Amino acid sequence: MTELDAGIAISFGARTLRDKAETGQASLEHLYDQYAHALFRYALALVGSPEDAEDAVQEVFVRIAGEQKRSESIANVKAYLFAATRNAAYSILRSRRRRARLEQAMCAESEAGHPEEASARLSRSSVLREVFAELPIEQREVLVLKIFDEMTFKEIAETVGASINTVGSRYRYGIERLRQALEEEHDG
Amino acid sequence: MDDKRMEESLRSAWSPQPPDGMRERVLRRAHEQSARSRSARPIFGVARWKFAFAGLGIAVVLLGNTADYARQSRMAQMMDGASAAGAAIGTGTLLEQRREIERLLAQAPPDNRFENGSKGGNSL
Repeated sequence: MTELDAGIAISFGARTLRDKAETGQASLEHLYDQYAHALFRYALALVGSPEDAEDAVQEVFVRIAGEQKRSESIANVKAYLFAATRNAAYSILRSRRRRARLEQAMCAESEAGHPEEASARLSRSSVLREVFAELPIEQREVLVLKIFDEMTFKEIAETVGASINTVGSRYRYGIERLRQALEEEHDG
Repeated sequence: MDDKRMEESLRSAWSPQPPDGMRERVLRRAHEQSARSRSARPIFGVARWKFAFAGLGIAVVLLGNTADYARQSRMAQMMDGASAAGAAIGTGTLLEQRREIERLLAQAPPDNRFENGSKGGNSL
């Protein structure tokens, strides 16, 4: 047991955590082990860089640790964590937009310099990854929450603050774009 | 390709893992924040600095009141002493003055200025 495993007890209004459902309490470590991977993936889909995704997840856990009193009023822990991660990721995106633009411009430049090599590299998986990364952020987050975290459209709608129909449309457009890219790759 | 297969394809194509050491970094920061917030935890829902500010205000008022009370007590003491001394001096002087006046009146010659038609009075 490391010093970090000593544990901070976090209380939540609703007893939604599996590990300590009886008391409505969970240590920060349990919370991390249960959700951090999914939150990291979600943040990565939004911000695009592992460092920024880690920052977003860190911000969420730091906030929970700092506002333990407030966490008692949280009814749905999972929804809260994903919404908080989304906020943190968007905040990072806003503050680092200029840097991100610069990086994208540099990447595009380097790929444009070697078009044959770039196209040769594209396997089926990398096509999917690249097309996924190029999707609008709204579609990316819906796809991640639906496909990887198996949320319902209703849960996604609550997390991203949009209507269920909008979420459904974003999912549809995203999936269609991926399918289209795969078909183009297959035909090509 | 149906939606389910597309989802499967994406799952197998993109499976990011958190960076090494992320757990320790995140939890360490969270524990630090927790310790900070514990040391600055509100009392009855009110921030500690507000309590400190209110306490300082109460202390200033109490000090002011105490100083005021001490000053008033001292003034009262001085007034008591002064009035006692004044009273003693006043009665002694009055008696003496009265006796002196009576003595002087007894020795003084009779005043006949009005009988002789003094020019010092009002001549209306």
